[in-house]
Amino acid sequence: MSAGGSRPSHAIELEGVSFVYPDGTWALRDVCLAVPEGGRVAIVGQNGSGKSTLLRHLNGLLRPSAGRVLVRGRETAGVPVERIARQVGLLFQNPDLQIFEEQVADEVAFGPRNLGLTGADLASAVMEALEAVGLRGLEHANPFNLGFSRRKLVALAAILAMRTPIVALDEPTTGQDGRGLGLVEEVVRRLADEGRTVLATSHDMRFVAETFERVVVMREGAIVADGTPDEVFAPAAWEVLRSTHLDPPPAAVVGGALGLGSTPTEAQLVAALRERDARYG
Amino acid sequence: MSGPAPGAAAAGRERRRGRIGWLEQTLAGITASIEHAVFTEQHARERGFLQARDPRAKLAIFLALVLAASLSGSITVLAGLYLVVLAAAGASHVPYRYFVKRVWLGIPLVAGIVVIPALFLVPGPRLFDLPAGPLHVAPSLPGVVGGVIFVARVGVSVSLALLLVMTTPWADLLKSLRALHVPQVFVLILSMTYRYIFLFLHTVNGVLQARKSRVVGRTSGAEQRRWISGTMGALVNRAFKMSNDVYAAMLARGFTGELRAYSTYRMRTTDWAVLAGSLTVAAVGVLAGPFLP
Ligand SMILES: Nc1ncnc2c1ncn2[C@@H]1O[C@H](COP(=O)(O)OP(=O)(O)OP(=O)(O)O)[C@@H](O)[C@H]1O
Ligand SMILES: [Mg+2]
Repeated sequence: MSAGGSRPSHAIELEGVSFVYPDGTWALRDVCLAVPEGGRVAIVGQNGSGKSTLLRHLNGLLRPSAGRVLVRGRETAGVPVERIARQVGLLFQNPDLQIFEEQVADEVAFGPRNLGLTGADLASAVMEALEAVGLRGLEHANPFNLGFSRRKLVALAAILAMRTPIVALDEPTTGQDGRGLGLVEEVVRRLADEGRTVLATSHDMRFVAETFERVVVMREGAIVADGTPDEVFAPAAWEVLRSTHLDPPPAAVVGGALGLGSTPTEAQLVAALRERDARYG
Repeated sequence: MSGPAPGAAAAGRERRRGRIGWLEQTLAGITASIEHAVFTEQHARERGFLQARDPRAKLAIFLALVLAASLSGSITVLAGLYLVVLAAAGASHVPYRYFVKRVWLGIPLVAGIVVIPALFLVPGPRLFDLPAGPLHVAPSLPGVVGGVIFVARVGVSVSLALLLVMTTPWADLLKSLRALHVPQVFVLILSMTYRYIFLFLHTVNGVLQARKSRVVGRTSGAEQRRWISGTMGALVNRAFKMSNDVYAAMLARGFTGELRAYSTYRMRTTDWAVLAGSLTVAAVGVLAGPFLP
């Protein structure tokens, strides 16, 4: 807890953060976002809306042009990235900018080794992470010989192995097939169960609706909607969503039409449709 | 998409299409083969003679033999050194055809540019005199001998370097540099360069392929050269940004600039013996050189 004592414990706080790239691009505009410890937040928005830029502020890779970033109550200004890395693990959008070792196991071990893990602790952190992303057995493979989706999973394992209390995932679902998607969903759920804080960006609205408890919508560097999936995918918010070229997940559209709310489960949808069938058919 | 496959596949496709400029073909071929041979460390992971040696010993041997090759003005010594290199390559399961071809096909490109003028400019008795219009093709004997020795020297040194890189995982090579008291900063720069080169090659391949898919018709040589020089600037820019990003990603995983060693090595008797043997070969080569042709 902070000295004031009144502040609830937040994993991440962005206070009026704006960011301008050296070439003059305004990528973030007065962003305010507080994520409680153990929170599960999805960040959505069209290409170029500032999602990656926001995530890169969480571990200090980018520093706000204006405003403050706090990680677990402590301001990050002046703290080097490699120190913040003990609190915040960041999965890069492009795995090829992250992977550089020649063996999957070495790649996954890089982070925890930097954090001081050795011997059996290191080995178990690596194995656990590889298990979580379904890559057990590929320890000795060269990551660059794996396809994109599996390279992305290697990069994800490399972040998980660091066992940071806060995990930021930049588009973990890109390029994943059904199985990969399932693995990523499972990873996010497990992190949340362990009480760790998860922030993720995604273009997959179904993944977002089913896996996160809160959705933040960005447009042109600003937050334009922030709420539960139910609220953000409700028909009333579709206009805002579409203004940033996002479509609500099909389940939300069908659910809205059937009066089931905007995040019905598949089973609820099927039951409702069956009932209608029985009534009118 | 998998690592080396796209480059190799693209090179093959281009060859079949048959109207691709040599420049692009060379680039694609080089990137594919470097990636495959060096980056996958396919040979470094085999169980051969050199692979089993302590990387520090290998590095010392390499330095000694390269020094001998560059000090030597004797074609006999250079030939002898090359035989040693070939024997070591054979004992380390490095495919001869690949190894020999890579080196000697690549060298004329580089060395030839340097050597050819010297053939004619070095004064001395002419080998022959072939009138070609207003010009005379008349290489001088000392010029040709000098050229042959130069090419041989480059060839032997490049072979040594290739052999070292092919039989030693990069991380071990960097670690042995540290063991030889090369400053940490220098080793770090090297390790970054390696990552950078890989990403750079990938970018080159990606750009070539992207361009290929947009260029339908035939392009002239001049157009191609203009495109290449224009693209190079953009590529260097992009590669620079990439290496920045890779470094950022390393920091994001707590990297503090300290390379951590994974495998620990111990100099065994064989390592000492091979080291002593190589140093003797190098010394004999340097000392005997002046008395040999
Ligand atoms: N290094 C940079 N220099 C200048 N401008 C940049 C840089 N990186 C990103 N931008 C710009 O900043 C804005 C936000 O980019 P950012 O990558 O954060 O968006 P994003 O929401 O992650 O997009 P995507 O969905 O494509 O990943 C964009 O307009 C982008 O062009
Ligand atoms: Mg992004």
